[in-house]
Amino acid sequence: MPKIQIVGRSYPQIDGMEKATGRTRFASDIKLAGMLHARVLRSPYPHARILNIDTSRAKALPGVKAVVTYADTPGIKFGPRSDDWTIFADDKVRFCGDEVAAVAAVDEDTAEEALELIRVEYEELPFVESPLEALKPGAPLVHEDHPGNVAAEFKVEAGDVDRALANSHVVCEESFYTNQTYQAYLEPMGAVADVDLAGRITLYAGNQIPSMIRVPYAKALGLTLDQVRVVLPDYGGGFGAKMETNTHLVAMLLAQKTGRPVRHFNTRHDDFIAGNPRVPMYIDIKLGADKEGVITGKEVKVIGDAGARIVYSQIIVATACYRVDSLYRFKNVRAKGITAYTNTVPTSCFRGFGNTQATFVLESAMDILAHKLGMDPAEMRVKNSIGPDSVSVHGWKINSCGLKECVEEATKMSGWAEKKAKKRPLKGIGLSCCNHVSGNRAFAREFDGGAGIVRIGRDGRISVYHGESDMGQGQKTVYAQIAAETLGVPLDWVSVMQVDTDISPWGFGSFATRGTLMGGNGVLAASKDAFIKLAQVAADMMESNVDDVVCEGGRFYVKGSPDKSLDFKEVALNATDSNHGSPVMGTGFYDPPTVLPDPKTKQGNISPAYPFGCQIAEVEVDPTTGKVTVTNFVAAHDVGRAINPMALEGQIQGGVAQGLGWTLMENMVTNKGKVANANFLDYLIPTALDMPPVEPKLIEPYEPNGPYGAKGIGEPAINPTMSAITNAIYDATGVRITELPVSPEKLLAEMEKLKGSHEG
Amino acid sequence: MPTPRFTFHQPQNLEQALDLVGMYRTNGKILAGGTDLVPKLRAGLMDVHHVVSLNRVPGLNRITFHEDDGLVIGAGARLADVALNPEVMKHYPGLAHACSVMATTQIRNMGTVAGNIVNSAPSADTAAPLLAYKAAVILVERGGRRHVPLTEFFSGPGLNVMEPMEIMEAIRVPSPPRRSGSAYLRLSARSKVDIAAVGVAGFLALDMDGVIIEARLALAAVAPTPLRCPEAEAMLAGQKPDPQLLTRAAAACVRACRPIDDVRATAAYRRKMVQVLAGRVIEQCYQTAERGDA
Repeated sequence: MPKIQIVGRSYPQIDGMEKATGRTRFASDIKLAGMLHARVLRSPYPHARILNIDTSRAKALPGVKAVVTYADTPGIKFGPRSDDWTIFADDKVRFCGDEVAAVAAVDEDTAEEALELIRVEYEELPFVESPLEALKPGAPLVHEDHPGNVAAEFKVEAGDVDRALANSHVVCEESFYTNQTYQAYLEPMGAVADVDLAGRITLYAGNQIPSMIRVPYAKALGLTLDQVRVVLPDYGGGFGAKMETNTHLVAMLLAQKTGRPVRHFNTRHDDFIAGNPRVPMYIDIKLGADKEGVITGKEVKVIGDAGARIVYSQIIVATACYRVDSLYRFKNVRAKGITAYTNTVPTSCFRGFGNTQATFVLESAMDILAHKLGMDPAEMRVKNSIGPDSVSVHGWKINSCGLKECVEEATKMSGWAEKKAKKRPLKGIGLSCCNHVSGNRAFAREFDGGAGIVRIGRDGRISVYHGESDMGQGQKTVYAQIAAETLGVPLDWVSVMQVDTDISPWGFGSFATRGTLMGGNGVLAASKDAFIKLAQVAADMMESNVDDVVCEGGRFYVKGSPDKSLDFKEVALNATDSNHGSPVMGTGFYDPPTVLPDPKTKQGNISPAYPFGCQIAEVEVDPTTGKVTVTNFVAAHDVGRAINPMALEGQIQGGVAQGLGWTLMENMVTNKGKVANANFLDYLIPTALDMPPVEPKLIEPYEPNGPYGAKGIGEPAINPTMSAITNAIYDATGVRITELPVSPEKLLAEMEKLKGSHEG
Repeated sequence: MPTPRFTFHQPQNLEQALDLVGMYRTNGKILAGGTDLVPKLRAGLMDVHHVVSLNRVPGLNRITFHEDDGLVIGAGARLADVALNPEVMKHYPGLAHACSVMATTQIRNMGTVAGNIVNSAPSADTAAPLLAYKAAVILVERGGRRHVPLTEFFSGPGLNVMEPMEIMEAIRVPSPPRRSGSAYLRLSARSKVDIAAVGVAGFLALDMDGVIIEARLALAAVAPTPLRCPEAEAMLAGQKPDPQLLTRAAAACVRACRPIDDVRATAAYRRKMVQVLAGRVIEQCYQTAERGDA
């Protein structure tokens, strides 16, 4: 067999030059003939009854083509994983930013002007901002049919936690809070919707789940699934947020009403107040260890804030309850999660999906235990590390696992041992590990594989069709590499096609760090199928056996005699001609060996492969201002076999930047039910100037379930960052951070408290 | 908000500009860099029908320095140009620093020092050093010109003493004496590219024995307007700084400020940081002043 040539090599993204030179047409660049522009009127109150809506003056404004409210919708309740959504608020608004009405007009200015002419009479109601308040008896109800504001509950238990904790040498008992943050993608959410005469809608929307998104949208509009087609343009990032949103449905509804294409994109302000920010969580943990530092048991209680409706928050809270249990060799664990409704912006997926919150908590607790035991925190991680070919406490089957190697490499690269030995005042070093998934069976319940179609044209051009979603993370390039490698052709012979649900396979999309493994395996299977079909033609042309035919660098030859070769394009031409124009079509799918968790015991195996990582941060703290500067960062990640090392390193650096932002500055502030900093002047994200050098290291154990041995990287890249930094802050100052973010003010106050307690 | 509509005027000289500003005094605005004005227009914060640009008025972007007359910063001088001007860097390091760290590269390339002053934000970065340098602004109107010391210019958040028919032509900054030193320090939630949560500027002039002849301290982002700290200044005058004096003077600066809580910091933290930054600024000023003849 020819040796692996394209997989494992660093390539710039195949669409990178187009993007860098401004040639890419993003979702918000789409213009259709006759297109109208939509704007949404949003609730100014966190909780209010709608007494009356008068749209007559808005409708009379020249240039306005439609004004719609709840009364213009089919009135069907729906939701991605619930039925608490309506396209517009019905009897009451439940958060500041809730959709009340929308306008389609000939241009955005007219639409904006029309919004100002809509009169809504509200009766303000008492509201609840915090999930802790929401769960108290007598709290205002967000949804009348959910008493106590409980949106969902989750429980999991394995082993005997009480006994394990009682018999521990040390126990860490601590309460943590992780705040609400915004995904801050470059392009706000939005779509262009177009309707044909048969009423079939085509939705051009940058989103992470182009196939799945059709299901609730069809339901909401009272359509059958085949009446909703989604086309996926290039789009400006998602980080978990770009899934179902009323922003799309507004465009679809207005397109239905006007019969014309309608464009609706959130303004940045709207995207802040009505997007899908991270689920804030209160997490209490009890973690025990024996004298040697071996973990005995863990108990967590999670209270998560769903906001005013459920997007995916209940699954995110469940994830926070138990995914991290496959990082170490846990035997006794118990978790309870409550997802509570509040009158705030609905929360949802954000890179890490609850495992970021849980990792921050667990890895802080591990640090606390290591200090209690006088043990090297790195050593304690290695001692408890789950290993390859093992089964976790919830039945998850770990195949490849380079966690120990990640810790070893990261500590070596950062000079961990020397720096821990030679403590310098106000300088600190901190370490954190993480695990994650590459696909989440509990999330994609019907099946959780991936599929592909590979078409080889008469000209030899290769088109790869998939159903996932490249939002800038480099998926297209990885798929092109897999196809090129499997077919034995140069990378630039391959095009990765736009997802179009009329053409592409049904894919679950890009979330749960599943793109490379699931979609990649689908592309691999289709590529193999296409190869066999084309190789048969080549074998016939060379009068050989198909099993003996290989292709390398775009030339077919019989094993052992590479001198006598056939041009791939010549074979493709021959194949198409002999089939009267039919191209070579390879199709294939991947059926992952996952097991849906048992509803009661939660025993299962949610992913075919599990990535791991270890990150180490170094910080300096200014004792007079409380300001933290991250001075150095190393990140070692078990990614399985690397398909595109350059893209992996970029993902790691991006994850660390996002995690650093969360740790040190990012915070959605809600004041009297309103987001108080719904703009980039007041909601701070880190800039390039805030970043230390981030040195990535790829640990590459071969993953038997991955395409060419690969696992994913998207979410593990951020999971350990927060606790790496806060553990370093502890090392520098002795202050244990239990709430994110760490503002200079908060740290300074804690440092002064600590100083006072030492002196007093 | 619908996009605002207005007539854009580009006068070719100061007289034309003054005519236009006079004509549209009720619903017109002056544009220099536009980095504050345009976002406000977009946000629908003002009802403006006419925008008068100063960008075609010759000579307004001048930055000149003479030993005797001091520094003149024309109304059109960009923040980035001021930041990199060798004379400003040499004689007014606090101002150069403010102009180089505030906002973003793009804004510094467009925005002007005069605009920063006219906008009169409590957090205006250039205001604190200019106050410490005892700057005055030159305001012109048809048939008149007046000098207003910067200490008398600001009247509230976003408010100042300018009349609707006036244009700020330039900012004048006196020449610093030998054996003087100055500095500006700021603190913000993000290390770069952020509004100041606290800004402190200082200026000290020494005699040959190292005794402070004159001290000037100014604060930004901790009161409705940028302001001077007369009590602290009086404490320092006639003294040689020691750690205790520094602490007391910084505490006097804290007494001068009237900060608020916002998303960037609480009032309590701002007070604390005035103490920290004022101490550092005085020390820095003293060290530069002692070093020599700057």
